[in-house]
Amino acid sequence: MNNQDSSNSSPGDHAAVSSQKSAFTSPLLITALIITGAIAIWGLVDTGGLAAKAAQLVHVQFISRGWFIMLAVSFMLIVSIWLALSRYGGIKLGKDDDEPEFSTISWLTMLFAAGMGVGLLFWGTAEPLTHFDLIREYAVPGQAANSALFVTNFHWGLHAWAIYALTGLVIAYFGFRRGCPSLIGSPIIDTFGSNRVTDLVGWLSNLLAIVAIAIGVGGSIAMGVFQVKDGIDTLFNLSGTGLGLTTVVFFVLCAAYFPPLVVDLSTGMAKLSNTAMAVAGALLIFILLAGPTHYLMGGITSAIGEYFAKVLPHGFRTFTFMDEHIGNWFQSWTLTYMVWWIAWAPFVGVFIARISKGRTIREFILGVILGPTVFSMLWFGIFGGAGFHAVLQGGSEIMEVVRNNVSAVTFFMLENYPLPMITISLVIVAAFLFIVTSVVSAAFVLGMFSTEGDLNPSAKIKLVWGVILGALGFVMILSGNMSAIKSIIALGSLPFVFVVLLLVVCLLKTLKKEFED
Amino acid sequence: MNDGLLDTVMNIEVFLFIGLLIWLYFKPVN
Repeated sequence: MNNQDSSNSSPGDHAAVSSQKSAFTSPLLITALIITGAIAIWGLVDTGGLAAKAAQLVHVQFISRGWFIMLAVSFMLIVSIWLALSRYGGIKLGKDDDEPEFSTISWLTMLFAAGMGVGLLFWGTAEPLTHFDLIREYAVPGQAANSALFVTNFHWGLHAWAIYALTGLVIAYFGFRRGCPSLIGSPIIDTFGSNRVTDLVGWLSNLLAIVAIAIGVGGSIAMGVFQVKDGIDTLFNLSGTGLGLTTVVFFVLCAAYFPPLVVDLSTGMAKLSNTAMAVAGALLIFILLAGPTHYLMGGITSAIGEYFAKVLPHGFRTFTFMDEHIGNWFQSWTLTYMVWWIAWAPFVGVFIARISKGRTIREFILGVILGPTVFSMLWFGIFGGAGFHAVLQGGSEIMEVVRNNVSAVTFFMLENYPLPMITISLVIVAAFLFIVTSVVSAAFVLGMFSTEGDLNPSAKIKLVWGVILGALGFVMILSGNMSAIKSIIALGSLPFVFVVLLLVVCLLKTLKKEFED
Repeated sequence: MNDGLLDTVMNIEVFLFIGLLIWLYFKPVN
């Protein structure tokens, strides 16, 4: 997720944006800094304690409210499709005579860039194989591979993008068409009028958005750092470098993202993220051509059919009557992913809103939910398919890596392809670029949100957010494993589920009113 | 498992929230 450039254009062009408050007097900023800072300090002082507490709280939430999360994300997908096809589909995100700022091709490329974060590099092979490892206890290997790919596509597909699409649509519609400041809380105040209750709910929504973004991006920093560190381990045949190398990678990353926070490098950042995208695309094509091409294309074709045939009913599956093993898997994967997307939603939503001014609701929704979903299916079909090929042709070594060190799986696979030194270096470079652009963009969005919609948050505020994001990332690195990271993210983003649904109601209500007037 | 009071309270909160959303959707605003 990236290239949120910090230029002056967009949402607030039409907005009566708030007065330029002097840097650190906003109560929202102070509260947000206290909450995220406290989590970071807790994690630094007692990493294990934070991870355990987060896991326990998330477990309780998932057991009691898992059904609600699945119902909510399925509802969001159905509402998105309905909005695109309904009479509201023709409404423009902007004034009626506004034209899109970007060509459709470059708009779609930027959408890919937003969804194509370090996560895809990390999980491309590892996720399908992890599911495969579980499902083959219940099915024959060929069927298990099919199901594993389906579940992976489900996690990264239409449901994820419907969450982004609706959040982005709310921000774009209220920002461009109704001239509200681009804050998460402003649609609530615009829809129900400003009074003590709506002001408070709007303020709390902004706060929850900030916390969800900060923790979500912190998690991505950790994931990216693990990935880069394992790449370096593989490249130079190191082992047992442990926390030492991880820390070095982390500080190099910090050194890379601090300068762009101070200097406005908006176009530079877009170039960096496009470079990362190009590298990732080149890797994708390389694996497809250097690997068993017909096998991978066959897998992708099957996966497309299976996905579109089953995606809607699967969104309602809660695995309630299955054994505990499957129940735990459902919580730690499907539910965790859904809340992870919700954690990213305010951040990605702002980005996709900014690049979509002048598009109709129909174009916006269909582009946002279909484009990246198809791209993800190609990605997992190729990287996952290459993994299945290795396993089903008799290789069990890669499964050992999947079980023991998930962030090394991509590198392990690349080692069995031609030119491993080059491809592994490229993955390291792409992962690094993706994290730098994510952190810089996130610091910008957080600065904007925490200064009541100031479109040019001062360098000082961005730097403070840069430090907090780094500290949160470091805490998650110290926690040492992906499941702890996932729990901390889930805990930070769960309350935001309620905010997104409230925003959807604001949107539907205001659209209805616009048509009636 | 979350049996008992906590589970009930957490789900009642969700039911109330869903009710609130439906009420807000139909509530007339000026």
